[in-house]
Amino acid sequence: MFDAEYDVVVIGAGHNGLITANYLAKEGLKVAVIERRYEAGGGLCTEELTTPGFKHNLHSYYHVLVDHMPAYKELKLKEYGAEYICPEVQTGLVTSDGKTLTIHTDIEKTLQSISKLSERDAETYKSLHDGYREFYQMIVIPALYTLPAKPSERVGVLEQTEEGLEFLRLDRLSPIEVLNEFFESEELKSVILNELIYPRWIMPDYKGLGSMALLIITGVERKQLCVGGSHQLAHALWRSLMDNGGVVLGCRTVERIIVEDGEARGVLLSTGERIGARKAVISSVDLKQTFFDFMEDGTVDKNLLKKIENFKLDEYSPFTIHLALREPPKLSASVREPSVDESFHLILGSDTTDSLSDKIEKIRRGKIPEEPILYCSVPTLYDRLQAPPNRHTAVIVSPVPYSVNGNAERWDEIKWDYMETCLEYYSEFAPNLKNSIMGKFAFSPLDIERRLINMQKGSPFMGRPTLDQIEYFRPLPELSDFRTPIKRLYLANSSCHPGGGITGGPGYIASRVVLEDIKAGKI
Amino acid sequence: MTLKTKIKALVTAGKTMIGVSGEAFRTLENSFIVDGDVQRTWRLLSDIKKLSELLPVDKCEINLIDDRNANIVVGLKFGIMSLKAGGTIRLLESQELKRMVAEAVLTTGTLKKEVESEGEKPEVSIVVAVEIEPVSEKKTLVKYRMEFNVEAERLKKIYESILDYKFATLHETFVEKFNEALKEV
Repeated sequence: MFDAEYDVVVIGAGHNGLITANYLAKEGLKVAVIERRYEAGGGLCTEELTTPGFKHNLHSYYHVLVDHMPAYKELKLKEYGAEYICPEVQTGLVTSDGKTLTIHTDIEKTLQSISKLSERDAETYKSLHDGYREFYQMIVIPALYTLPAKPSERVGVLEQTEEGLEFLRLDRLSPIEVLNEFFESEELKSVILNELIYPRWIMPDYKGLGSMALLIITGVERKQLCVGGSHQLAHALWRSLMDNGGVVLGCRTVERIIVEDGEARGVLLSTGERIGARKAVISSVDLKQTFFDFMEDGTVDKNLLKKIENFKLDEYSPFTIHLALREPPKLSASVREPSVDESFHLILGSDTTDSLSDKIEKIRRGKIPEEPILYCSVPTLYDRLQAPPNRHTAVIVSPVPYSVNGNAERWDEIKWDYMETCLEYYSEFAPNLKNSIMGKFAFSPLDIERRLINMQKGSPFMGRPTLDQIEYFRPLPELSDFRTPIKRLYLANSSCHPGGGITGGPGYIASRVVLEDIKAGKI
Repeated sequence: MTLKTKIKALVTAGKTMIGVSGEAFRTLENSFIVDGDVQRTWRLLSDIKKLSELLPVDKCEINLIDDRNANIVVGLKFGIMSLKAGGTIRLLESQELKRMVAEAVLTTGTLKKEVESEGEKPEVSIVVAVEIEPVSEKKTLVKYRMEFNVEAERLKKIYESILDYKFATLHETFVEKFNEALKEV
């Protein structure tokens, strides 16, 4: 007996859960989304953390796949209030000796900036951009929204031409190896590597991900910010779900997935309520909660549990600082290159690939680099709705280890000091920063985990994108079709293909799989 | 969808192209004006061999079976990768100097294995309706509508991407080539 019954119960109202729920509700299914927090959206949270009127995006503050995300168009999310702005100066880099590099939406402007550092690199960049852009646009990006192909199929398609074989060769390298093969400018290589580190969680030395460097060069993914803050996207998804007849049941904690005769039948809440699911239970939360916390012992095969236990989480965690500002930071380097002040995403502390690699090695060993790597953004330069008139917000992200010298709790002791270290470092590039600060707030890896338990160990990507954990192998081959060994239980989380970030991919694919099984009469 | 329903769905009323079948996953409409009268424009449009040379693809081979059917092989290149497909074209309807409707059913070669491994058909059906009408003595308006039907999710995504990002360029290239070829008709 259930206290309430739906066709489909989705666990977790992050963007993937909401997307899945939307598509299923659109097909006439009765759908409920169960959310632990008081708000829908998961990592899409915008809050007035520092001072009233200043809106800060706690996690994701820009989205790179809006142009390609089927849900954005098909669910008419713009009409539901999720409007996007695409900054012209997408990324900027300033080195400690004042060199600059800017990446624009306009390839010609990007090439001009690169040519100031190396004419040869500008030519190579253009040739790679032109040579690979259509391939990424037409073939690679669409594959983010379909079930992942088996490795042999992927290779089979590409090995038929010389260019395809060359692509496969580059793909087998690491991003840094690909960049070393093509470019001489340390600044250019550094920008591309940092674009992979954040927000794609791809480290420079990840073998088998060399082609990701090409993805960045093609510029098919563009940074865009949601007007009014990232949470607007969650709101749009929520409104759309309501119009489609679905509901979000907030402030409810799932205690267990009810499994009877090897089939998922619903969920048991911490209040004791039993919510039934006639067709499917879909988990958009992480693997640990799904297979360990929500399952009674003995429900899932031990070998599978062992593999899930071995699923590797992100290699770094983002330490985030949110600022309320009187005026935007003015970079000293902008005297020579004014457009760097307009960079939506500014990279500091990454002068050379060697220094970047050293810092990454330290992070891997649980150390905090003495000089931080910073990704800085002033969203209000582009979106005036995120702060009061003539005021600004800034967000600074610094890659750090989750456990400092093996102790994650240490963050509670050091986070304010580390925030000051980061601000001090940023001020070396933007001398007006410190006096402009009206309010500040820091969010450590530990805070991330406490607030969003889905992001275990401060892992927003929900599983590192190494060769053994991407595409058909994400999260595991036997789970890569979003089905689980428990009938009627499906996955729709960022541990699935195509991974973390606001891609909408896992949620979209999961909805296709569930609908397919319903149409085939399997559930 | 039966052939009869398809034709019925594409019937026009007056001068406007109406009647979307409702089953296509994507429908595109466009028009252009060419420098040629209706007779010359019709002659070029009806010459499938000649028309195939004007299609903005990297490869197009046509083998006529009879006056209404042909075999076709096409290839479209996206940087380092080509999508190849082969199949048939059938003329569904022809009203001289006014309108024609044809359907191409193509089986993809490039991604066949991937699509089949998911239990789906590696097939795309494209219904093209073309109407022409005089604008002046020497100018003709060409209107066309294309309906794409794809079952396989993977192909759907690729076609969507092509239509979203490449169609405008393909259209422009075709119009340019068509105008050029018209001079020699």
